Amino acid sequence: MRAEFAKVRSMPTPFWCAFAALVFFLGGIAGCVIWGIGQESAALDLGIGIPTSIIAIVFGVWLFGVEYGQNTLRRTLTADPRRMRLIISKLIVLLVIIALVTVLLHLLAFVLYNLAASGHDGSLSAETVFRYGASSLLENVVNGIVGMAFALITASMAGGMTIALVFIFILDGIISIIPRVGDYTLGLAVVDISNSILGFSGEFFGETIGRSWEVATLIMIAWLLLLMALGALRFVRSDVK
Amino acid sequence: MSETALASFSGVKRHFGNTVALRGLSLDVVEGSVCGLLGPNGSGKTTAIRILLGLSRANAGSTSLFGSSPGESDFAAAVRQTGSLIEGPALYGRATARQNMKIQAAARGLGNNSAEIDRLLGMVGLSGRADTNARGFSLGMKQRLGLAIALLGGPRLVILDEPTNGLDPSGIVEIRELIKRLPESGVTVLVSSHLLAEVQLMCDRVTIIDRGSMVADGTMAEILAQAGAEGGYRIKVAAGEVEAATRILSEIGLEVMPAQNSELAIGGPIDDGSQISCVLAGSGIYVSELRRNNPDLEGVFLALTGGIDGERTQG
Repeated sequence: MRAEFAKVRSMPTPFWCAFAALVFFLGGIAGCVIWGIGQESAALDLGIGIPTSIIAIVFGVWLFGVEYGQNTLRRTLTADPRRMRLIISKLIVLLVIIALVTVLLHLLAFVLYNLAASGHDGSLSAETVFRYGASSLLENVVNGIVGMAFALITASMAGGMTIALVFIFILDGIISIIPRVGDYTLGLAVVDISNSILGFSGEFFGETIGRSWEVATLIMIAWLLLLMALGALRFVRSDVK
Repeated sequence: MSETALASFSGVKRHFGNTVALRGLSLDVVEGSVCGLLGPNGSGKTTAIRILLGLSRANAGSTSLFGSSPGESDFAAAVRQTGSLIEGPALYGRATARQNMKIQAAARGLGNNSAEIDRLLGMVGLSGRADTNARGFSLGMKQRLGLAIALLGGPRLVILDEPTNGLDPSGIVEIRELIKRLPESGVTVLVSSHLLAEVQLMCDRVTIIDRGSMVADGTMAEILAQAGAEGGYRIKVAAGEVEAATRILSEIGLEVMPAQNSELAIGGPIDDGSQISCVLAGSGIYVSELRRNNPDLEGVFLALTGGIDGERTQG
């Protein structure tokens, strides 16, 4: 795992991911100065939530994609040939870094966004930041794992990035409009859990929508296990170029 | 020299679709040797190395690395005793030479190793470029860095696939000398190459493979003898004395073949070249040139493989 953290420290992609997250975070501060926190804590969504959810996909794909892109997998596996162990190491690195970045940004936002928005009505309570942070953390972890799974499935940086983005932003939505099947998409499951964390009601014009967070969590875990299992199967069984 | 095999192949077969890369390859890499794996392009050398290191699977047969096969619980420990450079150095291009080495050191579970990294970078002549991104390196520099990475952690076995690819002549000599010295520090080396001269100069044992099968295996001397590549001599006499010299030498039981420019190729039971000049001088024929035919691997290789054909198989 030390090697995986060393790669993160040495390579430019994680640096640019962190840089992008910082730029959007600073943009959020600017937004707070100009417009305040905004409705439904829009500053948190625009400054942290949405940008980091996309950055998480990039980072998740990169963790394996860099090995395929630079043909370094043979070097990694001639240092330690245990392929499942490599998957687990990279998964832990993914989870640790996503958790650190998401939590850190929300902690900073609690202080800095409130300060920046002090000239306007409305502020971020600790509970709001906590709920938004937890929701963002969930989404980032899911996106990161999906990115990593598709990098493994496609055995490619570019392929993994493309398919992961298509899956999260297009395919998942298309599946969701299929009767019956559509209720079990990964995206809807994450939305249901997020709504539960944020304390949003499950009612839409008087009609109850969504599922309990318990059911949604099971659906989400099933999707993540399925994608990672497919990726791991390909990775473990394939010849390494 | 100990005869313990650190790595071995036993009846290893591998095919890619209809293309056969290995047809029951069997060989041992003996401890303390610099073993050359020689074969034409596509003869299966790289495929064999990949299978040995667990990067590819064999369709049949087995391999053993320090007594362990891919998939076994102690295979990771066996791989950690092995340094390798396969088909180019596989570097993180946007990381520096030093960072590349640190990453590999961490992956191999080595502790604080800055001193060793500096020593190895110095050994391959990259001290001055240690903090330069590897993507800016020439192919030769990348190859040197790959070699330094392969030597990290003091491996007992080093496997090098075409290690002098991309190196300039002085670089080739340096790397060759470095590889030849490795057994002095207890390192066994397996070098794959299609360069005959390189193998002959570097290795004390050689295995020749062709079309995925082993066609010769042994010490360099054994291999050279195996294909009838005994040396013999060449002499040059005056143009008008060629026939007489041929007759005289044939009469004492030597094999004599006329060659170009009044030269004669001589084989047979000769202990010393002076015998030839002595016999001819006794008949009033004076030899103007006399030289020993040094047997070389090229002749053996071509005799055993039927020439170099790069498009026959994969790997």
